Amino acid sequence: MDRLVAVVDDDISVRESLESLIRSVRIGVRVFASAEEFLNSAHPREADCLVLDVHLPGMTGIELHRHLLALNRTVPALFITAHSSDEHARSEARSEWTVAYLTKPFSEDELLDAVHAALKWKPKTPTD
Amino acid sequence: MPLTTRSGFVGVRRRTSVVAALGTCLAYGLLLTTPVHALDPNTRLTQYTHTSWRMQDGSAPSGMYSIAQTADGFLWFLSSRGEIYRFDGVRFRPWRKPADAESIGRIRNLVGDQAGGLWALGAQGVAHLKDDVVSGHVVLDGLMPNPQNVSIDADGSIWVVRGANGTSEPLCHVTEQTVECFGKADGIPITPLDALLADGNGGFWLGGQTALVHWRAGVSETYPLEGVVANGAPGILSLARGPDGSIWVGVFSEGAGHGLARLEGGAVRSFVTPTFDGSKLHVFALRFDHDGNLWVGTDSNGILRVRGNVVDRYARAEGLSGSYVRAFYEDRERSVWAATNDGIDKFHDPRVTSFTVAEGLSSDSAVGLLASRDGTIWVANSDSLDHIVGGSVTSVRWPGQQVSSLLEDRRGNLWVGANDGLYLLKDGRFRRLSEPNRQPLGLIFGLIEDTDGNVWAHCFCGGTGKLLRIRDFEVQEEFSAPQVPGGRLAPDAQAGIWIGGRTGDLMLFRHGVLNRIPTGSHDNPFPNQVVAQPDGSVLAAFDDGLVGLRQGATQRMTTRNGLPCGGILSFVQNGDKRWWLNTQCGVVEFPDSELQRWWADPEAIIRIRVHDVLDGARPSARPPFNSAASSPDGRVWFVNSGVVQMLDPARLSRPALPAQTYIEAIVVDRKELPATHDLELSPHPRDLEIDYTSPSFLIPQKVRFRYRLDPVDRDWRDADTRRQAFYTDLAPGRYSFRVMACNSDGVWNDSATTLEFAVAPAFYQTLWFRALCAALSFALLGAAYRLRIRHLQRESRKLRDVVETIPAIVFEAGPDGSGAFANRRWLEYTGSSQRQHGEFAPEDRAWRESTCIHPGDLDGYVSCWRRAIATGQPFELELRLRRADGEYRWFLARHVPLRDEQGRTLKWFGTATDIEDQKQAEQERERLRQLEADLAHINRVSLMGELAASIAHEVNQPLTGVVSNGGACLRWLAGDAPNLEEAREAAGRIVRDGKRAGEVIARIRALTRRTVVSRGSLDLNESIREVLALVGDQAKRNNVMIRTPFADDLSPVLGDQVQVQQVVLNLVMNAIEAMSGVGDRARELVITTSNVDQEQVQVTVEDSGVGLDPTTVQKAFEAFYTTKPGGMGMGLSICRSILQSHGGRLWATARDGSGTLFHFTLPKCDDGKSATGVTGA
Repeated sequence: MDRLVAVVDDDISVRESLESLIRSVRIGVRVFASAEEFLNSAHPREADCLVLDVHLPGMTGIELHRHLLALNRTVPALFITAHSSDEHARSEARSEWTVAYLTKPFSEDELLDAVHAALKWKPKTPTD
Repeated sequence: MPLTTRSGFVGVRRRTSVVAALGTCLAYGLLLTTPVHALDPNTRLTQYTHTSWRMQDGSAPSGMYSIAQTADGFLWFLSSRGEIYRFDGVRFRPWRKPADAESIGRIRNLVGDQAGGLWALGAQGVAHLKDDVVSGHVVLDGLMPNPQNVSIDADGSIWVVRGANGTSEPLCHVTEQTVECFGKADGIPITPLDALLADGNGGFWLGGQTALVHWRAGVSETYPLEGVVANGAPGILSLARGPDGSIWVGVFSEGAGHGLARLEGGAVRSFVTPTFDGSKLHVFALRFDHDGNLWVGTDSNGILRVRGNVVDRYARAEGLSGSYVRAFYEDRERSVWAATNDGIDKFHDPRVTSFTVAEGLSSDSAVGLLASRDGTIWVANSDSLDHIVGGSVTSVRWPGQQVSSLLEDRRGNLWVGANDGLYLLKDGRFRRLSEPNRQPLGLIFGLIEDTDGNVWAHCFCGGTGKLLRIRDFEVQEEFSAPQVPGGRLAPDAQAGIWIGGRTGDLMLFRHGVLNRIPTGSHDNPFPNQVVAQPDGSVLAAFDDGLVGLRQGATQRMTTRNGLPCGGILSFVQNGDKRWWLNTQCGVVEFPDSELQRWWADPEAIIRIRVHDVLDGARPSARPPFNSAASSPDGRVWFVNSGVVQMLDPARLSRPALPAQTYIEAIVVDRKELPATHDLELSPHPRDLEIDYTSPSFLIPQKVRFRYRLDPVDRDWRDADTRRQAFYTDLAPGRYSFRVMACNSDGVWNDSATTLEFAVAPAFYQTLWFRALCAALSFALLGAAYRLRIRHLQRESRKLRDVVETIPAIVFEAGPDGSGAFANRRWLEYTGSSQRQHGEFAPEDRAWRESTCIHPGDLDGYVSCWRRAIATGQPFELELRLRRADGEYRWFLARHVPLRDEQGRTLKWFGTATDIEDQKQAEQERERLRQLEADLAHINRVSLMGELAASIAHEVNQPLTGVVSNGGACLRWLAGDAPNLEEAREAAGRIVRDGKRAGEVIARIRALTRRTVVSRGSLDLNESIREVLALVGDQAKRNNVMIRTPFADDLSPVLGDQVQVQQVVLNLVMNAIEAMSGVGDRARELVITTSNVDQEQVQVTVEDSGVGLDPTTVQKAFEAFYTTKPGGMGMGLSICRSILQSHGGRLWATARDGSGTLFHFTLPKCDDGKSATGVTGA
């Protein structure tokens, strides 16, 4: 249980289900309802992987990830969204630390695969 | 018989006054009694009840001259003017002289006979009257107006004397038809004659101007009057025979042997006593009454009454109506009547006789009395002691002052308590009792002697009340309150004394022991008198009744037991065991048997006889001491109002005559009719008065009446003393009036007097008049009927014109639908030539064809028609009728039955109105409604389309949860050590999230459904929240902040949830849309709800968008107006129509700064206001 996944989603169904799912494969997990809650917690530096909802109230998931990257906190993120058609957001989310962009509802394997991938994630273009 | 000598007894002119007699006869001694008046208490003139009717005060119609009584009880008075009045004790009724009585001239005398008839003696003749009709009359002149000088024979004929000068035959015997006169030839020595008296043996005493003559069978004796009668003076005017046979002569001139005289020793001599001189009078009338008193009527001196040697006077000063007394009459009730020049006077023996100053009492301040065993009545008076012995009131020389108590002890000694001590009359002299300690005994209130011979006195001596026991004329013991209080004293029959104390208690003081028994008297608890009976019972008189104490128990006799009032001043039992209660309203008398009955039953109604003020009683308010006594002769004595009053039971036992009632007249509308039998009254009497009476003269105020008129009265009506009965508006018919009366003893005579009469019907109440009225009514009715028929025919023609020209098809049919007949419009429309239809035959092809009804509608019509015929109920139906050109048009057919009073159908009426145009218009409207509904639906669906992304988001969230939880669950279950707890939790979340997704779907479906409008109570806040749940993501993506400051107490509204939510959705979507271009300010959507007033709820949707200019605001609600590039422009228009159909409204206002406010209202929901309808919206 040395690896930790942080889930940030404002929807309680999503939060609770992902927490249970990730924990069932023996990966540590912390859930947050908003970007602000995540930033204010003790975990921003400890999380090995971020699962971020794109349309969070206030700071969006994309903005949170960008923020972390800007702070040199490189952590792989996978984005989840309920809006399949929002191509603009999909392109916005794209970065070297972006592992996946999943549209709800996704299968549990898709997510777990993405999480596993994220935990082993090495950017294609290393940064310093 | 010798001629009378002219000598005679010379009257002694000596009248000794009372005072003189008192003075001269006063002998000095230890005790002297002075006779003041010899008095027979039964006959003393001043003690009579005197009533007078005077001309001056209007109670008598005239001065009277003659009195008679007929057998029916009425008194008849002849006035000095010759008028006759009938008198019933209350009213003088003028008697109309019958026409055939005119010949007797002015009536001068009136005599009643035994048979109930009346002789009227006139100046020219004599008439006999019976029942107001002259039964016979004779011509006879020379009769003079000198009443009483008529003698009636046993056969009813009369003897009269003629007083006119020149009459040769002065004595006449008159029957109804004959007259026979006697004169000198018959041995009558003098003429004319003025007085007549039958001697009882067939002879007569006759009085003339100069002599008294006895004449019998042609033989006469003459007794000349002494002296000379003045020329022209009448001489002897009246004669009377006393009970002892003495002949009394009334001479109308003064002088020796004149005036009041009697035949004495063969000569007519004036009646003279030491105190009276009869020769000084002009005597007009003489009469002996039943008791043997001689009544003398004088000219100017009033009445004298002679009994033995005692002469009483009664003149104007005493209250006589006049000074000149013309006649006396003693009626059947033994009242003596006097006719005077100014009225009438009546004297009768009162039941309660008073002794006053007039009878010799020293003053009218008597305070107590004692009846001693020798018959003497001792009267304690103010500063004097009087006594009544053998009817004489005597004043006693008495050394003390105010007498305050009296006692006769067993040895016959008289004890007199006074305010200055106690005196004893012993051996003819008063002795003052020696006083202990030389202190005056003071005021003695009460004196009694007990069975042991002790005399007890209640005194107020030495400044305090004391009870003294005296024996051997010495005070032995003194007792004071509170040990032994004083009070009313009475000896007990066994031993000791009773004391009635001030507290209302009765106390027995015997052998030094005081036993106290309360009586419960509160009014004035000091008893007025206490008497202990030999049987051990005690009676005490109180202001609120008589209290009896027997065997330790008390009972009370009050007004509830029939006493006329409660205040009993004193009481006594007399020799014949009757009780006499002197009360504040008269003397109450009842036998001992009634007292015994009361002892047995304290509630018993006592049968009593009351002697009240009308009987002569003079009740006091307060009792003096010892105010009741019974003398050995059985008479009872009371002190009342300062005088002594006496009742003689022997005289009281004479009952009053039974009351006889007579009906005097019927007064119809102020016209008096004689009360003859079978009287026929004129029609419609408005006011009917029946006058009735009962002649009674003793106490007419006590005569009461009852009457009834059959068939008007159901029962007897109490008229009390009223002597008229009144009725109004009697209907035609026969009536029977009955009346009865009670006499002055209160005894009713149950045999009523009856008067039958009839009221004739008025012309309008007669049969022939009613028949005529009926005939006239029929004739009028006939004429009216004919007029009505003509009118109806006109109306009918008018109506037919209306029916024929009315723009509708009209028909009538029989109750079974047959024989239908249509108007001209039918012919014009259908082109049919047939107005009349035959049988109702729906199966018949020809019939079906003849109806011109569209085949598609015909069966429906026939079935409606059949049901209507069966049930008699009207119906209406829309159907198509074929026009003459073959085109079908829609008609509204209505069938209405005409029913009779029993509800049976007599006829059917039908109309068919062309509604084709309305029908088409309605279909058009229906199409439009459908279009509108479709549009609304489209609007909703397109709104949903706009929301699709938002909705997808709403659904995807829970779906993500479901899938992820499912995966988790499977993983928790897999492996060697499945974590069931985690799996269970995950499974639980799957269920929750699945439901959540389902709810979203259901909401969408509800909003897009074509649905039945279902109005009901709606929580608007909740409805808005549901809408916001759908648009939440849409707002988020547009960076729109939604605030919902809802009113917490928002009233529920009446509305359809889907439609209302559609409006909200429209407005919210518009608002989000309006803010899409806003970048310089917060995108804010505020939804406010509020209870705007009692009736409505208001919702405001506020955005901070670009806003609408005023012209756009108006246009915004028009259909097809839109500012959106892809919009249809239907949204607001639909919203407005939805709200209007809800009874609400929708409008927009500009927001301060920028933005728009959309407001809508909805009516609040009342219970029972919900409704359901079908619409496509």
